[in-house]
Amino acid sequence: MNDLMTASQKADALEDKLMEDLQNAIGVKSRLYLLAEADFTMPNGARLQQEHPGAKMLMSDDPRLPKMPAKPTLIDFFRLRFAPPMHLLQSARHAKVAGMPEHVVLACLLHDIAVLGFIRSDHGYWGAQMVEPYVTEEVTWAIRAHQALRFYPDESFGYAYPDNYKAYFGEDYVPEPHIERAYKAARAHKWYGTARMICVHDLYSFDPEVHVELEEFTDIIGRNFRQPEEGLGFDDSPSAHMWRTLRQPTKYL
Amino acid sequence: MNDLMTLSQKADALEEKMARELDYIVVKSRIYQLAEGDMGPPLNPAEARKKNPDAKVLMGDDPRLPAMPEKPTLMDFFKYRFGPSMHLLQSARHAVKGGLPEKMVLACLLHDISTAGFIRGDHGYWGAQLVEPYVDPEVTWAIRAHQVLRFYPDESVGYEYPQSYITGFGEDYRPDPYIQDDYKRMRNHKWYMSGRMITVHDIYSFDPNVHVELEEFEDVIGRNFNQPEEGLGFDNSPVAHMWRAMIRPAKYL
Repeated sequence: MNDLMTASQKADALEDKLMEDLQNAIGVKSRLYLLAEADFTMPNGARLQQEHPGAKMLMSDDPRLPKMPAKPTLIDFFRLRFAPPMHLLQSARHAKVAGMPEHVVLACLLHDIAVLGFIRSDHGYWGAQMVEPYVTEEVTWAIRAHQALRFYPDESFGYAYPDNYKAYFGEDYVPEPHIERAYKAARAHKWYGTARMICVHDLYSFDPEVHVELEEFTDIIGRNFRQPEEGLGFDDSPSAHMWRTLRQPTKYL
Repeated sequence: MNDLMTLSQKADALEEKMARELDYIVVKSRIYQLAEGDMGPPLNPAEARKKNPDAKVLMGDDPRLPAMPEKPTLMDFFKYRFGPSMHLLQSARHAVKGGLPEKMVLACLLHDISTAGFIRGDHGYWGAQLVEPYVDPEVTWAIRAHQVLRFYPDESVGYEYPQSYITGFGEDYRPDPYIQDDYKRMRNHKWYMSGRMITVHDIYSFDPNVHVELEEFEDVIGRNFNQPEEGLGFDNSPVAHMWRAMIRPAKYL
Protein backbone atom coordinates (compact mmCIF):
# COMPACT_ATOMS: atom_id res chain seq x y z
CA MET A 1 0.00 0.00 0.00
CA ASN A 2 1.33 3.45 -0.70
CA ASP A 3 0.35 6.94 0.28
CA LEU A 4 -1.19 7.77 -3.07
CA MET A 5 -4.05 5.34 -2.51
CA THR A 6 -7.31 6.79 -1.35
CA ALA A 7 -8.99 5.42 1.78
CA SER A 8 -11.41 3.42 -0.34
CA GLN A 9 -8.60 1.98 -2.48
CA LYS A 10 -6.88 0.95 0.72
CA ALA A 11 -10.06 -0.69 1.95
CA ASP A 12 -10.37 -2.57 -1.36
CA ALA A 13 -6.74 -3.68 -1.18
CA LEU A 14 -7.28 -4.93 2.37
CA GLU A 15 -10.40 -6.78 1.29
CA ASP A 16 -8.50 -8.44 -1.58
CA LYS A 17 -5.71 -9.45 0.78
CA LEU A 18 -8.29 -10.90 3.19
CA MET A 19 -9.89 -12.96 0.40
CA GLU A 20 -6.49 -14.23 -0.63
CA ASP A 21 -5.77 -15.27 2.97
CA LEU A 22 -9.17 -16.97 3.15
CA GLN A 23 -8.48 -18.82 -0.11
CA ASN A 24 -11.14 -16.97 -2.06
CA ALA A 25 -13.83 -17.11 0.59
CA ILE A 26 -15.60 -14.05 1.99
CA GLY A 27 -15.24 -13.62 5.74
CA VAL A 28 -17.26 -11.05 7.62
CA LYS A 29 -17.00 -9.95 11.21
CA SER A 30 -19.84 -10.56 13.65
CA ARG A 31 -21.70 -7.55 15.04
CA LEU A 32 -20.15 -7.93 18.49
CA TYR A 33 -16.61 -7.86 17.08
CA LEU A 34 -17.47 -4.74 15.07
CA LEU A 35 -19.12 -3.02 18.05
CA ALA A 36 -15.90 -3.55 20.00
CA GLU A 37 -14.23 -1.37 17.36
CA ALA A 38 -17.14 1.10 17.33
CA ASP A 39 -17.77 0.06 13.74
CA PHE A 40 -21.48 0.35 12.95
CA THR A 41 -21.35 -0.98 9.42
CA MET A 42 -23.30 -4.14 8.69
CA PRO A 43 -21.62 -6.45 6.18
CA ASN A 44 -23.92 -7.47 3.33
CA GLY A 45 -23.11 -10.95 2.01
CA ALA A 46 -25.09 -10.56 -1.22
CA ARG A 47 -23.35 -7.31 -2.09
CA LEU A 48 -19.91 -8.71 -1.27
CA GLN A 49 -20.62 -11.65 -3.56
CA GLN A 50 -21.62 -9.35 -6.40
CA GLU A 51 -18.31 -7.56 -5.99
CA HIS A 52 -16.42 -10.86 -5.98
CA PRO A 53 -18.12 -13.17 -8.47
CA GLY A 54 -17.55 -16.84 -7.72
CA ALA A 55 -16.46 -16.31 -4.12
CA LYS A 56 -18.45 -18.09 -1.40
CA MET A 57 -19.19 -17.03 2.16
CA LEU A 58 -16.89 -18.67 4.72
CA MET A 59 -18.83 -21.61 6.20
CA SER A 60 -15.96 -23.89 7.19
CA ASP A 61 -12.55 -23.69 8.85
CA ASP A 62 -10.73 -20.37 8.68
CA PRO A 63 -7.51 -21.11 6.74
CA ARG A 64 -5.69 -18.35 8.65
CA LEU A 65 -6.06 -20.27 11.93
CA PRO A 66 -4.34 -23.50 13.01
CA LYS A 67 -6.30 -26.58 12.01
CA MET A 68 -8.11 -28.29 14.87
CA PRO A 69 -8.67 -32.05 15.27
CA ALA A 70 -12.14 -33.43 14.49
CA LYS A 71 -12.75 -34.18 18.17
CA PRO A 72 -10.89 -31.43 20.00
CA THR A 73 -10.02 -31.66 23.67
CA LEU A 74 -9.55 -28.90 26.22
CA ILE A 75 -5.81 -29.22 25.70
CA ASP A 76 -6.27 -28.74 21.93
CA PHE A 77 -8.05 -25.45 22.61
CA PHE A 78 -5.19 -24.36 24.88
CA ARG A 79 -2.71 -25.12 22.12
CA LEU A 80 -4.56 -24.07 18.98
CA ARG A 81 -6.82 -21.18 20.01
CA PHE A 82 -6.01 -19.65 23.39
CA ALA A 83 -3.50 -16.84 23.94
CA PRO A 84 -0.32 -17.77 25.86
CA PRO A 85 -1.60 -19.37 29.10
CA MET A 86 1.39 -18.78 31.40
CA HIS A 87 -0.75 -16.76 33.83
CA LEU A 88 -3.12 -19.71 34.26
CA LEU A 89 -0.31 -22.25 34.48
CA GLN A 90 1.51 -20.23 37.13
CA SER A 91 -1.72 -19.79 39.11
CA ALA A 92 -2.47 -23.51 38.96
CA ARG A 93 1.04 -24.43 40.06
CA HIS A 94 0.78 -21.93 42.91
CA ALA A 95 -2.42 -23.65 44.05
CA LYS A 96 -0.84 -27.09 43.74
CA VAL A 97 2.26 -26.11 45.70
CA ALA A 98 0.01 -24.73 48.44
CA GLY A 99 -1.61 -28.17 48.72
CA MET A 100 -5.00 -27.29 47.27
CA PRO A 101 -7.27 -30.21 46.33
CA GLU A 102 -7.36 -31.15 42.66
CA HIS A 103 -10.69 -29.50 41.86
CA VAL A 104 -9.36 -26.17 43.16
CA VAL A 105 -6.19 -26.57 41.06
CA LEU A 106 -8.44 -27.15 38.03
CA ALA A 107 -10.51 -24.07 38.90
CA CYS A 108 -7.30 -22.02 39.07
CA LEU A 109 -6.16 -23.48 35.74
CA LEU A 110 -9.45 -22.53 34.08
CA HIS A 111 -10.47 -19.35 35.90
CA ASP A 112 -9.42 -16.97 33.10
CA ILE A 113 -10.08 -19.08 30.02
CA ALA A 114 -12.57 -16.50 28.75
CA VAL A 115 -9.79 -13.88 28.84
CA LEU A 116 -7.38 -16.19 27.06
CA GLY A 117 -9.83 -17.62 24.63
CA PHE A 118 -13.09 -15.78 24.32
CA ILE A 119 -14.52 -12.50 25.65
CA ARG A 120 -12.74 -10.40 28.28
CA SER A 121 -15.73 -8.49 29.60
CA ASP A 122 -17.31 -10.36 32.53
CA HIS A 123 -14.83 -13.15 31.89
CA GLY A 124 -15.74 -15.08 35.05
CA TYR A 125 -19.33 -15.50 33.87
CA TRP A 126 -18.26 -16.48 30.35
CA GLY A 127 -15.65 -18.94 31.57
CA ALA A 128 -18.11 -20.60 33.94
CA GLN A 129 -20.70 -20.93 31.17
CA MET A 130 -18.17 -22.55 28.82
CA VAL A 131 -17.02 -25.23 31.27
CA GLU A 132 -20.27 -25.84 33.15
CA PRO A 133 -21.19 -29.15 31.43
CA TYR A 134 -17.73 -30.62 32.06
CA VAL A 135 -16.77 -29.80 35.66
CA THR A 136 -18.36 -30.01 39.09
CA GLU A 137 -20.91 -27.40 40.11
CA GLU A 138 -18.47 -26.13 42.69
CA VAL A 139 -15.78 -25.42 40.06
CA THR A 140 -18.28 -23.62 37.82
CA TRP A 141 -19.55 -21.61 40.77
CA ALA A 142 -16.05 -20.65 41.87
CA ILE A 143 -14.98 -19.51 38.38
CA ARG A 144 -18.12 -17.36 38.10
CA ALA A 145 -17.72 -15.92 41.60
CA HIS A 146 -14.03 -14.98 41.22
CA GLN A 147 -15.20 -12.26 38.78
CA ALA A 148 -16.76 -10.36 41.68
CA LEU A 149 -14.57 -11.48 44.60
CA ARG A 150 -11.29 -10.24 43.11
CA PHE A 151 -12.50 -6.65 43.69
CA TYR A 152 -12.99 -7.20 47.42
CA PRO A 153 -10.19 -7.84 49.91
CA ASP A 154 -10.46 -10.56 52.53
CA GLU A 155 -7.79 -10.29 55.19
CA SER A 156 -8.65 -13.65 56.69
CA PHE A 157 -7.33 -15.22 53.48
CA GLY A 158 -4.53 -12.66 53.05
CA TYR A 159 -6.15 -11.32 49.90
CA ALA A 160 -5.67 -7.58 49.30
CA TYR A 161 -7.13 -5.46 46.50
CA PRO A 162 -4.68 -5.91 43.58
CA ASP A 163 -2.22 -3.05 43.05
CA ASN A 164 -2.44 -3.27 39.30
CA TYR A 165 -6.20 -2.68 39.45
CA LYS A 166 -5.49 0.70 41.05
CA ALA A 167 -3.10 1.51 38.23
CA TYR A 168 -5.26 0.11 35.42
CA PHE A 169 -8.75 1.15 36.53
CA GLY A 170 -7.87 4.26 38.57
CA GLU A 171 -7.77 4.83 42.34
CA ASP A 172 -11.41 5.85 42.29
CA TYR A 173 -12.75 2.79 40.45
CA VAL A 174 -15.80 1.32 42.13
CA PRO A 175 -17.23 -2.01 40.90
CA GLU A 176 -20.64 -1.78 39.27
CA PRO A 177 -23.82 -2.40 41.32
CA HIS A 178 -24.41 -5.85 39.79
CA ILE A 179 -20.88 -6.88 40.85
CA GLU A 180 -21.52 -5.51 44.34
CA ARG A 181 -24.71 -7.61 44.53
CA ALA A 182 -22.88 -10.68 43.23
CA TYR A 183 -20.20 -10.15 45.88
CA LYS A 184 -22.73 -10.03 48.70
CA ALA A 185 -24.43 -13.20 47.47
CA ALA A 186 -21.10 -15.01 47.03
CA ARG A 187 -19.84 -13.91 50.45
CA ALA A 188 -22.68 -15.83 52.10
CA HIS A 189 -22.41 -18.93 49.89
CA LYS A 190 -21.19 -22.30 51.13
CA TRP A 191 -18.53 -22.39 48.38
CA TYR A 192 -17.21 -18.90 49.13
CA GLY A 193 -13.86 -20.30 50.26
CA THR A 194 -13.33 -22.16 46.98
CA ALA A 195 -13.85 -19.05 44.88
CA ARG A 196 -11.72 -17.01 47.25
CA MET A 197 -8.91 -19.52 46.71
CA ILE A 198 -8.94 -18.66 43.01
CA CYS A 199 -8.23 -15.02 43.96
CA VAL A 200 -5.56 -16.04 46.46
CA HIS A 201 -3.69 -18.05 43.82
CA ASP A 202 -4.40 -15.58 41.00
CA LEU A 203 -0.89 -14.31 40.27
CA TYR A 204 -1.51 -10.75 39.21
CA SER A 205 2.20 -10.12 39.13
CA PHE A 206 3.08 -12.55 36.40
CA ASP A 207 6.65 -13.84 36.75
CA PRO A 208 8.44 -13.91 33.36
CA GLU A 209 11.15 -16.18 34.81
CA VAL A 210 8.86 -19.05 35.76
CA HIS A 211 8.00 -21.43 32.97
CA VAL A 212 5.27 -24.02 33.47
CA GLU A 213 4.17 -26.58 30.90
CA LEU A 214 0.52 -27.49 30.40
CA GLU A 215 1.57 -31.16 30.62
CA GLU A 216 2.07 -30.68 34.35
CA PHE A 217 -1.75 -30.67 34.59
CA THR A 218 -2.66 -33.36 32.07
CA ASP A 219 -3.67 -35.80 34.81
CA ILE A 220 -5.60 -33.23 36.82
CA ILE A 221 -7.54 -32.31 33.68
CA GLY A 222 -8.07 -35.99 32.90
CA ARG A 223 -9.50 -36.72 36.35
CA ASN A 224 -11.54 -33.51 36.78
CA PHE A 225 -12.65 -32.31 33.35
CA ARG A 226 -15.17 -34.60 31.66
CA GLN A 227 -13.85 -34.38 28.12
CA PRO A 228 -16.78 -35.32 25.82
CA GLU A 229 -16.09 -38.27 23.57
CA GLU A 230 -17.41 -36.40 20.48
CA GLY A 231 -15.02 -33.52 21.12
CA LEU A 232 -15.70 -30.09 22.65
CA GLY A 233 -18.23 -28.42 20.39
CA PHE A 234 -19.83 -31.61 19.10
CA ASP A 235 -21.44 -33.14 22.17
CA ASP A 236 -24.79 -31.31 21.95
CA SER A 237 -24.17 -29.70 25.34
CA PRO A 238 -25.66 -26.29 26.19
CA SER A 239 -22.25 -24.69 25.59
CA ALA A 240 -21.20 -26.70 22.51
CA HIS A 241 -21.79 -23.77 20.14
CA MET A 242 -19.49 -21.59 22.25
CA TRP A 243 -16.58 -23.96 21.61
CA ARG A 244 -17.55 -24.19 17.94
CA THR A 245 -17.37 -20.40 17.67
CA LEU A 246 -13.82 -20.58 19.00
CA ARG A 247 -13.05 -23.16 16.37
CA GLN A 248 -14.60 -21.13 13.52
CA PRO A 249 -14.90 -17.50 14.70
CA THR A 250 -15.72 -16.12 11.24
CA LYS A 251 -18.28 -18.68 10.16
CA TYR A 252 -20.91 -16.79 8.18
CA LEU A 253 -24.05 -18.26 9.77
CA MET B 1 2.32 6.69 8.20
CA ASN B 2 4.85 6.03 5.52
CA ASP B 3 5.86 3.05 3.46
CA LEU B 4 9.00 2.35 5.41
CA MET B 5 7.04 1.21 8.43
CA THR B 6 6.50 -2.50 8.82
CA LEU B 7 2.99 -3.80 9.33
CA SER B 8 3.57 -4.28 13.04
CA GLN B 9 4.97 -0.75 13.35
CA LYS B 10 1.85 0.49 11.63
CA ALA B 11 -0.32 -1.46 14.05
CA ASP B 12 1.63 -0.05 16.99
CA ALA B 13 1.28 3.47 15.61
CA LEU B 14 -2.46 2.99 15.24
CA GLU B 15 -2.77 1.67 18.77
CA GLU B 16 -0.78 4.62 20.08
CA LYS B 17 -2.90 7.04 18.12
CA MET B 18 -6.04 5.45 19.49
CA ALA B 19 -4.74 5.58 23.06
CA ARG B 20 -3.93 9.27 22.63
CA GLU B 21 -7.33 10.03 21.22
CA LEU B 22 -9.32 7.93 23.63
CA ASP B 23 -7.24 8.30 26.76
CA TYR B 24 -8.08 4.76 27.57
CA ILE B 25 -6.69 1.47 26.41
CA VAL B 26 -8.78 -1.00 24.45
CA VAL B 27 -7.54 -4.58 24.59
CA LYS B 28 -9.19 -6.79 22.01
CA SER B 29 -10.88 -9.95 23.22
CA ARG B 30 -9.41 -13.17 21.90
CA ILE B 31 -12.42 -14.06 19.80
CA TYR B 32 -12.25 -10.66 18.06
CA GLN B 33 -8.56 -11.27 17.36
CA LEU B 34 -9.17 -14.80 16.09
CA ALA B 35 -11.84 -13.50 13.71
CA GLU B 36 -9.05 -11.47 12.10
CA GLY B 37 -6.83 -14.52 11.84
CA ASP B 38 -4.58 -13.03 14.52
CA MET B 39 -3.01 -15.70 16.74
CA GLY B 40 -0.63 -13.25 18.42
CA PRO B 41 -0.62 -12.39 22.12
CA PRO B 42 -3.04 -9.67 23.28
CA LEU B 43 -1.98 -6.06 23.76
CA ASN B 44 -0.20 -5.71 27.09
CA PRO B 45 -1.69 -2.70 28.91
CA ALA B 46 1.52 -2.29 30.95
CA GLU B 47 3.41 -1.68 27.69
CA ALA B 48 0.74 0.71 26.41
CA ARG B 49 0.88 2.63 29.68
CA LYS B 50 4.62 3.22 29.33
CA LYS B 51 3.76 5.60 26.51
CA ASN B 52 0.71 7.10 28.17
CA PRO B 53 1.03 6.53 31.95
CA ASP B 54 -2.33 8.13 32.73
CA ALA B 55 -4.29 5.92 30.38
CA LYS B 56 -6.69 3.47 32.00
CA VAL B 57 -8.11 0.30 30.56
CA LEU B 58 -11.76 0.55 29.56
CA MET B 59 -13.96 -0.61 32.45
CA GLY B 60 -17.00 1.64 32.07
CA ASP B 61 -19.22 2.66 29.18
CA ASP B 62 -17.53 2.90 25.80
CA PRO B 63 -17.78 6.56 24.76
CA ARG B 64 -17.66 5.53 21.09
CA LEU B 65 -21.01 3.70 21.36
CA PRO B 66 -24.52 5.12 21.89
CA ALA B 67 -25.33 5.40 25.60
CA MET B 68 -27.83 2.82 26.85
CA PRO B 69 -30.46 3.33 29.55
CA GLU B 70 -29.65 2.03 33.00
CA LYS B 71 -32.32 -0.66 32.71
CA PRO B 72 -32.29 -1.53 29.04
CA THR B 73 -35.17 -3.32 27.38
CA LEU B 74 -35.20 -5.58 24.34
CA MET B 75 -36.36 -2.58 22.29
CA ASP B 76 -33.34 -0.59 23.52
CA PHE B 77 -31.00 -3.29 22.23
CA PHE B 78 -32.75 -3.18 18.86
CA LYS B 79 -32.28 0.60 18.78
CA TYR B 80 -28.80 1.07 20.24
CA ARG B 81 -26.86 -2.10 19.52
CA PHE B 82 -28.33 -4.28 16.78
CA GLY B 83 -27.63 -3.70 13.11
CA PRO B 84 -30.48 -2.85 10.74
CA SER B 85 -33.29 -5.23 11.64
CA MET B 86 -35.55 -4.94 8.59
CA HIS B 87 -35.08 -8.64 7.80
CA LEU B 88 -36.47 -9.56 11.23
CA LEU B 89 -39.29 -7.04 11.02
CA GLN B 90 -40.33 -8.24 7.56
CA SER B 91 -40.24 -11.86 8.72
CA ALA B 92 -42.38 -11.06 11.78
CA ARG B 93 -44.95 -9.19 9.69
CA HIS B 94 -45.05 -12.11 7.24
CA ALA B 95 -45.81 -14.38 10.20
CA VAL B 96 -48.62 -12.08 11.38
CA LYS B 97 -50.16 -12.17 7.91
CA GLY B 98 -49.79 -15.94 7.86
CA GLY B 99 -51.95 -16.08 11.00
CA LEU B 100 -49.29 -17.50 13.33
CA PRO B 101 -49.93 -17.25 17.08
CA GLU B 102 -48.26 -14.38 18.89
CA LYS B 103 -45.47 -16.38 20.44
CA MET B 104 -44.45 -17.59 16.99
CA VAL B 105 -44.53 -14.02 15.68
CA LEU B 106 -42.11 -13.24 18.49
CA ALA B 107 -39.96 -16.23 17.47
CA CYS B 108 -39.81 -14.86 13.91
CA LEU B 109 -38.96 -11.39 15.22
CA LEU B 110 -36.10 -12.78 17.32
CA HIS B 111 -34.82 -15.67 15.22
CA ASP B 112 -31.75 -13.83 13.90
CA ILE B 113 -30.95 -11.50 16.81
CA SER B 114 -27.57 -13.12 17.16
CA THR B 115 -26.76 -12.19 13.56
CA ALA B 116 -28.12 -8.68 14.08
CA GLY B 117 -26.40 -8.04 17.38
CA PHE B 118 -23.99 -10.72 18.51
CA ILE B 119 -22.21 -13.64 16.80
CA ARG B 120 -23.00 -14.90 13.30
CA GLY B 121 -21.64 -18.47 13.35
CA ASP B 122 -24.24 -20.87 14.83
CA HIS B 123 -26.53 -17.87 15.29
CA GLY B 124 -29.59 -20.02 16.08
CA TYR B 125 -27.90 -21.60 19.10
CA TRP B 126 -26.57 -18.24 20.29
CA GLY B 127 -29.89 -16.49 19.77
CA ALA B 128 -31.80 -19.18 21.67
CA GLN B 129 -29.34 -18.95 24.55
CA LEU B 130 -29.71 -15.14 24.68
CA VAL B 131 -33.51 -15.20 25.04
CA GLU B 132 -34.04 -18.45 26.96
CA PRO B 133 -34.84 -16.90 30.39
CA TYR B 134 -37.34 -14.48 28.89
CA VAL B 135 -39.52 -16.44 26.47
CA ASP B 136 -41.67 -19.57 26.29
CA PRO B 137 -39.52 -22.75 26.02
CA GLU B 138 -41.14 -23.46 22.65
CA VAL B 139 -39.85 -20.12 21.33
CA THR B 140 -36.31 -20.90 22.52
CA TRP B 141 -36.48 -24.34 20.99
CA ALA B 142 -37.77 -23.01 17.66
CA ILE B 143 -35.06 -20.34 17.40
CA ARG B 144 -32.38 -22.96 18.05
CA ALA B 145 -33.97 -25.38 15.57
CA HIS B 146 -34.26 -22.91 12.70
CA GLN B 147 -30.43 -22.90 12.54
CA VAL B 148 -30.62 -26.50 11.42
CA LEU B 149 -33.99 -26.80 9.67
CA ARG B 150 -33.28 -24.03 7.16
CA PHE B 151 -30.82 -26.38 5.42
CA TYR B 152 -33.49 -29.05 4.85
CA PRO B 153 -36.53 -28.68 2.59
CA ASP B 154 -40.01 -29.69 3.72
CA GLU B 155 -42.46 -29.91 0.84
CA SER B 156 -45.43 -30.40 3.15
CA VAL B 157 -45.23 -26.69 4.03
CA GLY B 158 -43.70 -25.50 0.76
CA TYR B 159 -40.23 -24.85 2.20
CA GLU B 160 -37.41 -25.26 -0.32
CA TYR B 161 -33.67 -25.05 0.13
CA PRO B 162 -32.97 -21.28 -0.18
CA GLN B 163 -31.61 -20.10 -3.51
CA SER B 164 -29.43 -17.61 -1.62
CA TYR B 165 -27.64 -20.51 0.09
CA ILE B 166 -26.73 -22.03 -3.27
CA THR B 167 -25.26 -18.69 -4.28
CA GLY B 168 -23.74 -18.00 -0.86
CA PHE B 169 -22.26 -21.36 0.05
CA GLY B 170 -21.96 -23.15 -3.31
CA GLU B 171 -23.89 -25.95 -5.02
CA ASP B 172 -21.85 -28.59 -3.24
CA TYR B 173 -22.22 -27.22 0.29
CA ARG B 174 -23.21 -29.87 2.85
CA PRO B 175 -24.15 -28.95 6.44
CA ASP B 176 -21.63 -30.03 9.08
CA PRO B 177 -22.21 -33.42 10.74
CA TYR B 178 -23.42 -31.86 14.02
CA ILE B 179 -26.11 -30.05 12.01
CA GLN B 180 -27.14 -33.34 10.38
CA ASP B 181 -27.35 -35.01 13.80
CA ASP B 182 -29.42 -32.16 15.20
CA TYR B 183 -31.72 -32.29 12.18
CA LYS B 184 -32.54 -35.94 12.89
CA ARG B 185 -33.32 -35.13 16.51
CA MET B 186 -35.37 -32.04 15.67
CA ARG B 187 -37.36 -33.66 12.87
CA ASN B 188 -39.00 -35.93 15.44
CA HIS B 189 -39.58 -33.33 18.13
CA LYS B 190 -43.07 -32.29 19.18
CA TRP B 191 -42.22 -28.66 18.41
CA TYR B 192 -40.73 -29.45 14.98
CA MET B 193 -43.39 -27.41 13.17
CA SER B 194 -42.67 -24.32 15.29
CA GLY B 195 -39.01 -24.39 14.27
CA ARG B 196 -40.11 -25.06 10.70
CA MET B 197 -42.51 -22.08 10.71
CA ILE B 198 -39.56 -19.75 11.37
CA THR B 199 -37.94 -21.00 8.17
CA VAL B 200 -41.22 -20.62 6.25
CA HIS B 201 -41.52 -16.96 7.27
CA ASP B 202 -37.80 -16.26 7.01
CA ILE B 203 -37.74 -13.79 4.15
CA TYR B 204 -34.46 -14.64 2.47
CA SER B 205 -35.17 -12.28 -0.38
CA PHE B 206 -35.29 -9.09 1.60
CA ASP B 207 -37.60 -6.50 -0.01
CA PRO B 208 -35.97 -3.03 0.05
CA ASN B 209 -39.33 -1.37 -0.63
CA VAL B 210 -41.16 -2.68 2.40
CA HIS B 211 -40.62 -0.65 5.53
CA VAL B 212 -41.72 -2.03 8.90
CA GLU B 213 -41.33 -0.26 12.23
CA LEU B 214 -40.33 -2.11 15.38
CA GLU B 215 -43.24 -0.35 17.14
CA GLU B 216 -45.61 -2.60 15.18
CA PHE B 217 -44.50 -5.40 17.52
CA GLU B 218 -44.34 -3.51 20.78
CA ASP B 219 -47.42 -5.24 22.15
CA VAL B 220 -46.35 -8.69 20.96
CA ILE B 221 -43.03 -8.15 22.76
CA GLY B 222 -44.81 -6.79 25.83
CA ARG B 223 -47.06 -9.83 26.10
CA ASN B 224 -44.52 -12.51 25.17
CA PHE B 225 -41.07 -11.37 26.27
CA ASN B 226 -40.58 -11.30 30.05
CA GLN B 227 -38.60 -8.10 30.21
CA PRO B 228 -36.70 -8.17 33.54
CA GLU B 229 -37.46 -5.26 35.81
CA GLU B 230 -33.74 -4.63 36.49
CA GLY B 231 -33.03 -4.37 32.76
CA LEU B 232 -31.52 -6.94 30.39
CA GLY B 233 -28.02 -7.63 31.68
CA PHE B 234 -28.72 -6.82 35.32
CA ASP B 235 -31.25 -9.45 36.39
CA ASN B 236 -28.70 -12.06 37.47
CA SER B 237 -30.08 -14.52 34.90
CA PRO B 238 -27.77 -17.21 33.48
CA VAL B 239 -27.33 -15.08 30.34
CA ALA B 240 -27.18 -11.59 31.86
CA HIS B 241 -23.46 -11.30 31.08
CA MET B 242 -24.16 -11.96 27.39
CA TRP B 243 -26.35 -8.84 27.21
CA ARG B 244 -23.77 -6.91 29.20
CA ALA B 245 -21.15 -7.89 26.60
CA MET B 246 -23.28 -6.15 23.97
CA ILE B 247 -23.60 -3.07 26.19
CA ARG B 248 -19.80 -2.93 26.70
CA PRO B 249 -18.14 -5.12 24.07
CA ALA B 250 -14.64 -3.74 24.67
CA LYS B 251 -14.68 -3.83 28.48
CA TYR B 252 -11.31 -4.93 29.82
CA LEU B 253 -12.39 -7.60 32.33
